[in-house]
Amino acid sequence: MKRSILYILSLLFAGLFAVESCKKQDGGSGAPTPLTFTVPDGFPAPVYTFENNTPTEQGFQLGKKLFYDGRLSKDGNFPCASCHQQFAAFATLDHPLSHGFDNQFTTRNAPGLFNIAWMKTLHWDGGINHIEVQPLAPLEATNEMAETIDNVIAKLKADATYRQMFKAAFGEGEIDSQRMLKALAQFVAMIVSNDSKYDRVKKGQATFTIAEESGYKIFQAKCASCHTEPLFTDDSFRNTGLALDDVLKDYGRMRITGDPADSLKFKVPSLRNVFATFPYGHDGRFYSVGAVIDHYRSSVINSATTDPLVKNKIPISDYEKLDLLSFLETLTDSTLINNTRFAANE
Amino acid sequence: MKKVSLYGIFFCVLIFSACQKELTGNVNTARQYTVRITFQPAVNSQALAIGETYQNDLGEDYTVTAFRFYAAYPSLKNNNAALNVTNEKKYRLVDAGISSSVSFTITTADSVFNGLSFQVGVDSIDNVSGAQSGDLDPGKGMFWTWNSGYVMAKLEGTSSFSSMPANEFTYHVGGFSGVNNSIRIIALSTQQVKLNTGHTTDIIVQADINKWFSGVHALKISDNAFVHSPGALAKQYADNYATMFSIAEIVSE
Repeated sequence: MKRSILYILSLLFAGLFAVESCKKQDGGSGAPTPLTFTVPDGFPAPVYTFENNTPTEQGFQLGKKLFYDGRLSKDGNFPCASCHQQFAAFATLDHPLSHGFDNQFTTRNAPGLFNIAWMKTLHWDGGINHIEVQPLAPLEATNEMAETIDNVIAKLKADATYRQMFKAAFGEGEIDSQRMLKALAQFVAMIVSNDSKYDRVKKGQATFTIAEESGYKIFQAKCASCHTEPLFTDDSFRNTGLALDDVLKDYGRMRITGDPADSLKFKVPSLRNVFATFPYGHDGRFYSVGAVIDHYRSSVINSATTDPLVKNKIPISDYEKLDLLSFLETLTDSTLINNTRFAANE
Repeated sequence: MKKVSLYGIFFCVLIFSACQKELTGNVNTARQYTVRITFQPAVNSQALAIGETYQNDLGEDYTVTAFRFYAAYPSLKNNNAALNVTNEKKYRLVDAGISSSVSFTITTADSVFNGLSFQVGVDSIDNVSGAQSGDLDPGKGMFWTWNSGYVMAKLEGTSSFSSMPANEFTYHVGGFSGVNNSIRIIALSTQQVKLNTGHTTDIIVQADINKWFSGVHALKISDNAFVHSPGALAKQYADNYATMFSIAEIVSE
């Protein structure tokens, strides 16, 4: 009789286990911690709304680990962060073009990564239509990270820490490119720049100097139609009258649309953190903000697609230039640049 | 002892019924007919052999190394009225190199049809909605990473008429919006077919690769050894391959 009681008990346990294993399929335990994405006061509604990718602390941390992990590149040397350095507002400091696999250069200047959630398209030519698929471009480009999606997924699957982190962020199921990309989007979209001196002045927490105030007025009169506040870009594509580089032969937006009307047009970059991200221009040809202003003052090249707003050059006096530079310096967001939340763990 | 085994059976039944409910979901008691559509890559009615040398209708030799396309929304029609069908999945990446990838199974409550239709290509919305999975996983090699969007169909091979290195040709056809739209809807008539419950009806649809070169537009390999972006040429290839499908056989077992 004792044996039969044991038998019944063990069956009972087996039954409980089976029911438990059924339950697990619809959720499981240890739900990830939700994160909120806050739209700063005065900012428009973001383009990326984390649709089908609810941000969580676990997803963000996984995205950050991926962002700083060289294993996403072929030889291990080129994580996302190799071209997107936090101290440069996630651009590449002091490099017109960034370095990639096998001593190669990229073909364009790495843009800063902040306020990406407000971008309708990504890249200088707008070729990328969604933040989640952007990492595939550098990952597969043979002169950048030079990897394949399948290789990267295999490396992640082979790593116990990643297996645990993917599970914590997304629950049961295989590691795949979709989950990797969603995690990266959670990290990158959370990088928001809204705490520069300019922002604090707007909130009434700081005041411009006389030069900054004067520069702001000049900015609003002569620059703001393209570099629209508060993002300091209108996210459009324009030909600003730069000469075609004979080596790069980069026609910008036309490469994507095939439309001659888009020849030599490039995305208007944000001027936030402009003093942290030199050099400037789609190919990094300008080594100082002053040099960019000089271009608009004196060396705009007119062609069929040159933007009407710069066609006749922009008259800016030497005095105005100095004040303008003072104002643009107020766009540096030290809070973002020093925020350890976005820095590599270690 | 008898008592114990009865308990055993009781628990087993409990466990199984608990699990089963989640696996099968709601059971439809109406009659269901099953139709399996199988794409058969072919050249001139003969099943495609990878690496074999063929000749297109423009007199050019070629071999095929890769042939893939996205099929979607297979549906049946009876006298142009669409049958109410349920697809096992929205997209199927048909790959000539993977035999398990070429079939779509659909179920319907209607029993008679005389036509079949499906889409070649990925819906516009799925080209602009971020990271996808399954057959749309960009790791499948059907996604342009530098110019977001899916390659709807891909044909790669070699030809002595190609001016590219190693005599290769690579046709990657895509484009989902506006003037560059390369999505094509295919409609094929069939004999009238009466479906039976308990039997799967197989429709074998041949995809004749020769039509890529001359289905509507004459596109010589010597003129175009590659297409790698959306645009006018990609659309011409899409027009051509939209004519490659034909019903080879319908089998009711």
